[in-house]
Amino acid sequence: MSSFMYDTKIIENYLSGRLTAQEQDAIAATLLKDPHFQQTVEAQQQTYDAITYFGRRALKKELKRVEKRLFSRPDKITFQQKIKKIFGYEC
Amino acid sequence: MSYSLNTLAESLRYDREATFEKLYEQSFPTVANLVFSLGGSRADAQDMFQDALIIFYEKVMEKPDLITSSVHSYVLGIVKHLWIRKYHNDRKFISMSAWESEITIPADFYEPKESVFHLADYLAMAGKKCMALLEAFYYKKKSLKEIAASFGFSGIRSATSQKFKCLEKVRKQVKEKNLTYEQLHV
Repeated sequence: MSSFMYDTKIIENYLSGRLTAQEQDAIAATLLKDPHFQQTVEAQQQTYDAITYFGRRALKKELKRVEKRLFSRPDKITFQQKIKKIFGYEC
Repeated sequence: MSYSLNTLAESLRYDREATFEKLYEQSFPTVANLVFSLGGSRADAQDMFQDALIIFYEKVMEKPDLITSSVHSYVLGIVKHLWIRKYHNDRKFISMSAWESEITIPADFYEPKESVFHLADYLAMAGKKCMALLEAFYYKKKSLKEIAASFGFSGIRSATSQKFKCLEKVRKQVKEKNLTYEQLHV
């Protein structure tokens, strides 16, 4: 099998279904007979999953910062009171 | 409506934190009301609201046209799903409109595979710059032009090639880690 098959870009297009039906089939067939290629494709999928997880975690941190600001800044008092009214003693 | 969501996606792309601050201020009170009426705490409301914003963000950055309601109602719809999931509530106790019940939550959102977060930790340490670049492109949906400017590449072409180099580098690390893992667990 030719080395271009290992190309990250082709695998990316394969995983996101952007290739032609014929190309998708060709890659699927190669996956079945080439365990090394299969490992590469799996590793690339895991890489995307890890990027998503990494991105989500960073965004959650960012939102916690936003929350902290909204609940501490004096100019956001109206917002703070609205929430306090809903949950009462909890705040 | 799709026009305004496209605009929102744009401002999330360029000024995420400030845009979220506005969304937070506008939508949290409604979510807090809903969660309180269901018997939830303020901590529940905050946690679910933040998760809902993350899910909404991923959807709007991917395909803003698919969201046909307002941001506000959409986020509220996601929170209902999160509530049902967390407290195993029967759907009949929460009223959901037809479009709300069609909202999907990404399968890996609730329970990411353990291997994924170990991997994310490892990769974050192994190559900070590459992970930041990949996050900017794949998660934050930044344009290659913007990536070139913020990461100091000469242009789009060079940013593209760096992105694939990083992807390849990280993929290699993942592959090596998989192999070590297999050897340890035979």
